[in-house]
Amino acid sequence: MELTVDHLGLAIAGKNVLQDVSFRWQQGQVLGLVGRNGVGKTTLMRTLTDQYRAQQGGVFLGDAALCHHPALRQQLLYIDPVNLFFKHNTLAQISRYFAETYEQFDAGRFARLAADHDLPMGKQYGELSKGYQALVVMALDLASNVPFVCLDEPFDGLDLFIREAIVKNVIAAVANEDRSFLIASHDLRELDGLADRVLFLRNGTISHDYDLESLREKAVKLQLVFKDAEIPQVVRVHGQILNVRGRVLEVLFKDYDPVVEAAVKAAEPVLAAPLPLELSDLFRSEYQDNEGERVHG
Amino acid sequence: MGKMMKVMFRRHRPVLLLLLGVMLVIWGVSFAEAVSSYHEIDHFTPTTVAEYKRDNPGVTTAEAKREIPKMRKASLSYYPQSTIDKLGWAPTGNFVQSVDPVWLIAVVVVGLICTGWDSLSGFDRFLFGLGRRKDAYWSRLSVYGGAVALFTLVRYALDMVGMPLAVGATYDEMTLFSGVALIGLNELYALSCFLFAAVVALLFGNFVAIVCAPPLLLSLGLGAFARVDHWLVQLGLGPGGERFFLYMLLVVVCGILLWLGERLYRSRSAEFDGHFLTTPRLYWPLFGLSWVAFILALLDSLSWTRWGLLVPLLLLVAGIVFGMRGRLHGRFGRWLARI
Repeated sequence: MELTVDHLGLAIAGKNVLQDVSFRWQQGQVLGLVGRNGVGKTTLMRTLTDQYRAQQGGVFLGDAALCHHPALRQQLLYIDPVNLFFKHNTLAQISRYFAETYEQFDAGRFARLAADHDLPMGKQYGELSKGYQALVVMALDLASNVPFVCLDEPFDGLDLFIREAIVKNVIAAVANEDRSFLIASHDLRELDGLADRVLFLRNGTISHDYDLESLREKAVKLQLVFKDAEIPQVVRVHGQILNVRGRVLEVLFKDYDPVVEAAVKAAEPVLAAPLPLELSDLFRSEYQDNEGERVHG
Repeated sequence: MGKMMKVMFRRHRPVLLLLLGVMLVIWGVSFAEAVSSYHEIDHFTPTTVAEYKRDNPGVTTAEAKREIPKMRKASLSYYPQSTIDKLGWAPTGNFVQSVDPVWLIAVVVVGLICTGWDSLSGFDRFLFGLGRRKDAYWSRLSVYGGAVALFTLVRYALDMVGMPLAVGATYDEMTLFSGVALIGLNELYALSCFLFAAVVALLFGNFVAIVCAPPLLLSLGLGAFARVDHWLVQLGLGPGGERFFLYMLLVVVCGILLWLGERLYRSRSAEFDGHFLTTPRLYWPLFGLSWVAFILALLDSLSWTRWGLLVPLLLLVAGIVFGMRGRLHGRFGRWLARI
């Protein structure tokens, strides 16, 4: 099963929040969704689940458009952490709401997950701490048995153990149940270890769709120091300066082929050391202006 | 829609129980008032042949038996101004006065609380994620409208059975005092007003619109009805029953206009996210018209209760205050913030 987002567009108050957003999401895949604050990540999730009505394009499960086949929305779940109607309900009541609305919801599993994390079923959601609230949302996502799940900032403000618990649950759900997750997060380190692909949202559209493993095979991040203050042509043309500390440059080369490698060597750097390529480097390369160049120059 | 109805009912059960409680309290008060006024009339109206002969020496028993019902009927028709107002039958009264304002306000306020609560808490969006929006809104209307209709029937039935039993009178006699015959129509009117408000909420799905527009439209309805009623009386049109038909016709026409507006809105905009300025242009003329009507209703306030004005006014202020919070965008928002 595959979920296709096709040229999705949405304007709110005259502003194009989403424009021409397209990507494919296969079952069993974890997609990361990153972007600056206010770029439209949450809006995209709300539009995917028809909480906001798309003005252009659509979301398709197989060949069927979700807007014309609302029953198919049972295959896609997004629990909006900002607009939660069940803040004043106990976990037991919340479970009953979901059991009534999602056919495949497993109330027993929800109770077991709650027990595993010491979440009292008789307590109101709003009375729980932020971390426990995140765990409740995660437990609902898992117990719903919905194949496509959107998670919005699932690691935001959580301690190490709760983050680990969430990551563990996501990995287990993908591995054992062929579940799929779209995770919007600013925690790039967590996302780095979790996502198969990362979608970069910029100006309301998907500017890059990276398959992290493929990218790591051809991209390189180098720490470079040159004799002269002037940045060599190869760095300007083929690389992207991520960071500048004095004369030490951190440069990302997305296509580090033998030609580029030879050109870097020809520039005779005093230091050329490879560094591990992280998602945060891609994020920086996507969103930072040519700040590094300015500092160095 | 079945799932939505279930979850909707689960969510609104406490509110519906509250509404049931309010209805019973209002019914109890009006029941007690009706019984009390019936007995007051009995104090000065001859009800037996002996009493009649005592007051009218020289008449025969047959004459007394013939005259007592006539006198009784005459005395019953001489009811106090408040009852005239309640019935809305007297030429000087109008239909607005015949509406039970407490029940009307209770119905609309509870409806607004429900719609506002659903919109603000994200419950609407939860439902949108499950199925068609139309179904989500109609589920709410069905649960809430169904409950109001049921409670109204219960109240009407309690009056029909309880009042004659309470005083040992016929239902027709009680009708003259309690306005029982119109209670059903009043509730129907209240229900129409609620539907009016609900359709607006359905149209705009917006907190400001949900909270502000319905009381304003309610005012529009009441203000217009009061005005039209006055004109009809001036034109020499008859008692309430005939005019009631015209009011209902007006409600239907307004309903059709709103339905057309909804169609127009849906055809012009695919967006329906509750955002303040995503409301269609159609909204602003309606909003302006509502304000005009509200002022009309204000001018007509002598024919309406103070609470009936105060509550929509408070709702309007609350709506603007809450609706503006964090939602001021664009030129209109800045203008609204300045004032």
